Amino acid sequence: MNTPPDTKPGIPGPGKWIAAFLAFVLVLAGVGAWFFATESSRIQQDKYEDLGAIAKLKTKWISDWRNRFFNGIGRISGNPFFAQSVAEFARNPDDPELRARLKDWLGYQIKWTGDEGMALYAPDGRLMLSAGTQEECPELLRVLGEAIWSNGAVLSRLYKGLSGNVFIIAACPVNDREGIPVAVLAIFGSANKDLYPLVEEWPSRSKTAETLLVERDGNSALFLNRLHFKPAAKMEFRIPLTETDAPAVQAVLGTGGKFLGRDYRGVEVIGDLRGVPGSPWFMVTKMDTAEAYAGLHEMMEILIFVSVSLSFAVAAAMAAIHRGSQVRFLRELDAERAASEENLRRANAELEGRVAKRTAQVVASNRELESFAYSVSHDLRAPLRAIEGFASILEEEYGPKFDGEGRRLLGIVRSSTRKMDHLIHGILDLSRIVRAEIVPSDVDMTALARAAWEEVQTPKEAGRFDFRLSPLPPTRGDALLLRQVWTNLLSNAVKYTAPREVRCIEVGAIREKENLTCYFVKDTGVGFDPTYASKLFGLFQRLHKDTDFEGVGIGLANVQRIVQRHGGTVRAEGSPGAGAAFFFTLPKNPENHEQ
Amino acid sequence: MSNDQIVELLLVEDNPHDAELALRALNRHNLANSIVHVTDGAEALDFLYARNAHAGRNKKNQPKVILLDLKLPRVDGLEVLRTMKGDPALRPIPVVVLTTSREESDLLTSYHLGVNSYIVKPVDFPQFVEAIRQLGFYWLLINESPKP
Repeated sequence: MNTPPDTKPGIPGPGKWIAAFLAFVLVLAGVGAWFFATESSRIQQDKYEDLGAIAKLKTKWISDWRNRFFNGIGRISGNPFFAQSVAEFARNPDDPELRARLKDWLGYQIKWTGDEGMALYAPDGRLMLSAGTQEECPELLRVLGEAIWSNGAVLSRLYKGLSGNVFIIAACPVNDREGIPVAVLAIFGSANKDLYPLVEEWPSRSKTAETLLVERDGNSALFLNRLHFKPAAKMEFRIPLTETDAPAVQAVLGTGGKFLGRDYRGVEVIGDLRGVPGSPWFMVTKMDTAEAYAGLHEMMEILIFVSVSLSFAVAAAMAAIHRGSQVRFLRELDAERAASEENLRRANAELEGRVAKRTAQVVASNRELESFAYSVSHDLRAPLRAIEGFASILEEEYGPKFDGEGRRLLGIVRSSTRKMDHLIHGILDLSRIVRAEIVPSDVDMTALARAAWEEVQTPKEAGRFDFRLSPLPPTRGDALLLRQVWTNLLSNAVKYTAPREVRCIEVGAIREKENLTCYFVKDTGVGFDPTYASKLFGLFQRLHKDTDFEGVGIGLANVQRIVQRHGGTVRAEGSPGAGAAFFFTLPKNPENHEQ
Repeated sequence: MSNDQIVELLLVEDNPHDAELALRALNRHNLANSIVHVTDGAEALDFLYARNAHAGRNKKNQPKVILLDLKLPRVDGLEVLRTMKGDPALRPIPVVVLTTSREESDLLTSYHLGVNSYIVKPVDFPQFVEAIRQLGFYWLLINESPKP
């Protein structure tokens, strides 16, 4: 079965699938990238917000802490009883009762506020009285001077005492009734105890999150608190302001808000920068980008993992589907082929059956013909022989007893039986030709025609004929049957030419078509009436009287039969008294002799 | 027919007219003094094996030649030929098939079975006589058969 190739889809090639897969991967990558970008900016935003919130809280705490000093020192130094006591003490510094009372009171205050210590200094900086811890340092003198000069509460910078503890000092002048400062009150706050926990505390678990308190110190940013990642002690590490990449530098230069840069370790960090209100301090709240975006990285990893898994799954699915479609296609093909084969097989079987039937018929009819021929040759001829035999004996042994008429009648009996014998011979010949199996071989037609000529001319006729044989193209066919063609045609020619004065028999061939050779036998014999040319090749058909020419009308019928079985045709040309020509064609490369 | 009679020719022919014509042809030329004519293959074999109707016949006196028709009742000519040529005792006896059949198959089978000659009876009586004369002359006078 022929199916036009375009009506039947072929096996979908893997190319389509690969293209589809690549498209899928591209879309997936695009969606992934978009999702990642959105998510990362969201996470970044979240992180900044987290950091900002923490920073805001912390700066508020720190600011509050500082304000507590302001308020505390202002409240104490502004207390009229305290101021009066201090003024009294300033006038009578050696009054032990007064000193003890003031010291107790300050001690009580310290106990209550939790500060390190409190001290009263004379306006010239001399220590008048102290409670708790107090440490002398350059910063102390500066703060005391500033307090008197500004006549108000002042907070010192953080400073590290000899003990290594970091302090902040709040100072405020204590005035007498006239408003003349009689002393300066200083409160020593402990950064270690109060400030640093505020700074260093982190509301959530984090490895890299860190809050830095910095202040500008000349041309550098000074880190006030202890650094997480550096062994340096508090207030000893500083970064030049030229290193603008550092968040601490940016912070002390006044930059606020979100920040992305490298910290003192050189590690990329995100951070929040803001100043501590009411202070020279700046706060850097930062976290390593790696940690901040760890979630993002994790998400990206998950995203990539999911994408790759999805891609593999899709690839596997596509491969499975492809294979499935291939298998389905092949199965369809198989089914189709099986159907075709089945059809073909059925057709073949049918054909075989028909051929077998026809063969059986042919065999049967051949067998019938054979048995017919057998009985003709055997059964019909036996009585014929008896008639002829006994008529002959009658003639020989009783001939003298017959008169002329009797002998003539006896002669008719005998000649009739002989003629009938010839007819039977003819029928047998024809049936033999019909039944004969053609055994093809390469046949030299020239030699065959010559041999036939030698056969048909009797010795007494030898030399009476002008026989012209042109070289004939060879052919392929049954040599015995083809020889019979020549024999019949030549014997005919001899028979009808013999009575003529000019006795010329010509044998030749012309190439009629590409694959067709036409052989001919021409004679100068008696010829025939072309009106009856078609009757020439019929069985038992004769155009001449028996008395003129003997014959039973079998020869040409045999010729036609043989030529037809070789795939050729016969024809005859002639006119009365002008000779006759018999033509027969033979295909050069006969594919099939049988018709 | 005495048991020791010499038989020169055995004619196996069912058709009496053919048989008569053959005998006349043979007689005309004085070819056979002692001819036995049987009308079917079974009888022919009985004669050759000296059994049944021919029991007691001296088997040493086998014919010089057998003229065998092919189309015979009961056992046909080819069967007789097959039996004879398959039997070492009978194989040396020359057999001439004398038949009306010009069938190629008969001819081929006969020769394959070992026939010594195959003659188609001509319808024309003079030709028939001539044929009989020649074969009788040849097989009875010219040809030498081994002595039994």
